[in-house]
Amino acid sequence: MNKTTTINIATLTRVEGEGALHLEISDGKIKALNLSIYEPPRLFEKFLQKRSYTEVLDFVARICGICPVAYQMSAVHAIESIFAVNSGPWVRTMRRLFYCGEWLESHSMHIHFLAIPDFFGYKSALDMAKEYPDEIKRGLRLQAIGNELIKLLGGRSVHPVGACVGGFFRAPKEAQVTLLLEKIKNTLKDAEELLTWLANIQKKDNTQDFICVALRHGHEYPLCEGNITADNGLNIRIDEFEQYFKEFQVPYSTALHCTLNEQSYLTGPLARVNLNYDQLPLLIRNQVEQLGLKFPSKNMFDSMLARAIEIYYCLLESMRILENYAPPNSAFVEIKPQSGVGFGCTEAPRGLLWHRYDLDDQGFVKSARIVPPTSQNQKRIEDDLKHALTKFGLNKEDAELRAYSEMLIRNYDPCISCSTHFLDLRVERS
Amino acid sequence: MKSIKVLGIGSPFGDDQLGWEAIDLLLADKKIQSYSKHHLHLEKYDRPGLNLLVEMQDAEFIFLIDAVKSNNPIGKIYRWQNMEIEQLEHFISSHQIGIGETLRLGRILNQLPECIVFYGVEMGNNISAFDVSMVVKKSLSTLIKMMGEEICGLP
Repeated sequence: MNKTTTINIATLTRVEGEGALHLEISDGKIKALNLSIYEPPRLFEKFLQKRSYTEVLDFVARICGICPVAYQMSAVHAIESIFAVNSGPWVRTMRRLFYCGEWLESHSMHIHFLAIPDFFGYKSALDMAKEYPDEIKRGLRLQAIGNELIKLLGGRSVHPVGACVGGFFRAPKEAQVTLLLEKIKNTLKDAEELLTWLANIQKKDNTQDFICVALRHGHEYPLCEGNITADNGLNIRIDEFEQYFKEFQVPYSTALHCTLNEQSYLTGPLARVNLNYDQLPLLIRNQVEQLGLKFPSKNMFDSMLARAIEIYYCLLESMRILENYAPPNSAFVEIKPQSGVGFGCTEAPRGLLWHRYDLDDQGFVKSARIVPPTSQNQKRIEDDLKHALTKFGLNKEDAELRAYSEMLIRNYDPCISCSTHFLDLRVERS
Repeated sequence: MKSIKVLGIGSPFGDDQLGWEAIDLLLADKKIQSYSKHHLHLEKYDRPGLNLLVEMQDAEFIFLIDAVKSNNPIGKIYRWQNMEIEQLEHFISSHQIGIGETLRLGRILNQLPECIVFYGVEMGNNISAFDVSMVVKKSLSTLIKMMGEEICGLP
């Protein structure tokens, strides 16, 4: 007898993404699985047209409340490449520091308030905080350091306004730097303990075969610069992205899917750690090895460990930068607009964020293209769900399938993670 | 004298910026200006989320100002205190993570200051506008008077 089960997780709504999950099971097999992002197109690329290069950073910062720095940094690199600007070592270093703040803020939030309650069977971080107050407080401290770093250079922690083409509008004062450096030193223990804690949490084995894609730089863990690499041997310049990665529309989603050689791929913390493990400081690698962890890992649930590793990295990197901080003569270099096409690609907390701009000779935008990590990971999330739900057992109760689906989705992306708290499940059986 | 912090929450759009506007109006108030920065600190925030708990840590009295979206008349002024705020999760405008949810977490973690007062104003549907609506502007002047008196009356 044929048995078809349709599970519709109908509403994923929150700030940075709205979506749903449609799952159809027939005769014990997945017949259809669609992750649909149905948020209306936000048209930022169109809004940017005919805008001056001086406005672009403020525009793109508004695309995401969680990773505005990433949008600003990808845009600024693209624009500066068109103007042939060398903003110098001080600006380059401060951009790394700025970015560390965003990773700290985003990763801490995701681990403690979105993802980890799933691993302990709690409905929310609020429920979990009653039993694990010290761990949740630790998450708040780490998140706060990230916010302070963003504020130091961006003027404020949400939708920062301090970055400009050529550098920053102003340099942090030495007294601010000294104060923050002390706080970071006091938080290092939190990062070590977080990693140890997460390494000892029991988690399911969700090992799969997939392609990891991340930036790779010659001598540092990638944040703002590097080649686009993959564990299938890909190693290309960022301006070659369009030759290898194909975006396309699927009928059930307003967000484009993106594939590499017609295959889904993972971008984000786990992919970064997998491809850049050797670039991590020895101190971190030693702790990882002492804990018995192994990278590269293809267990998707190791994403949380990868985030913890990057939190630790960001604290060490911020400490290194702030210890050597010296105020510059000028926090930015002068700009002379010129026409051309430029590319920027940086590592947003959730993965590769690729920008392309075509500017006229006055620096006004003729066209823009933005490929965010959320859309790149969509196809991978679908493939993960197909694999993991089958392994989990498709004959499980709908509520169990729903909870596990949400957990798998949350594991990828803080934007979608936010949304999944609002999932409304409808089950149809025939 | 106890330390006081006033946090105006908002975004640059329409009536949602009323929290920021309130901070500007308070800063222009002569009575408020007579306080030292150590005793009274005023700041604007764009969706502080859980960071609100960190921002509230160093003060004994916290005043939050934010836009409220419910079915009440535009311009209606609200005042809630401590536990009342936590119980009104879906009534209060939620910037990223709701204020109610954040305060409930703060209570569980024993991280809340002695007194938290929430002042809100019912916002209109002008989210794509650049300015605060006239109705809300009028309410804001009443709200600033109320807040000024309350702040000056604190021990």
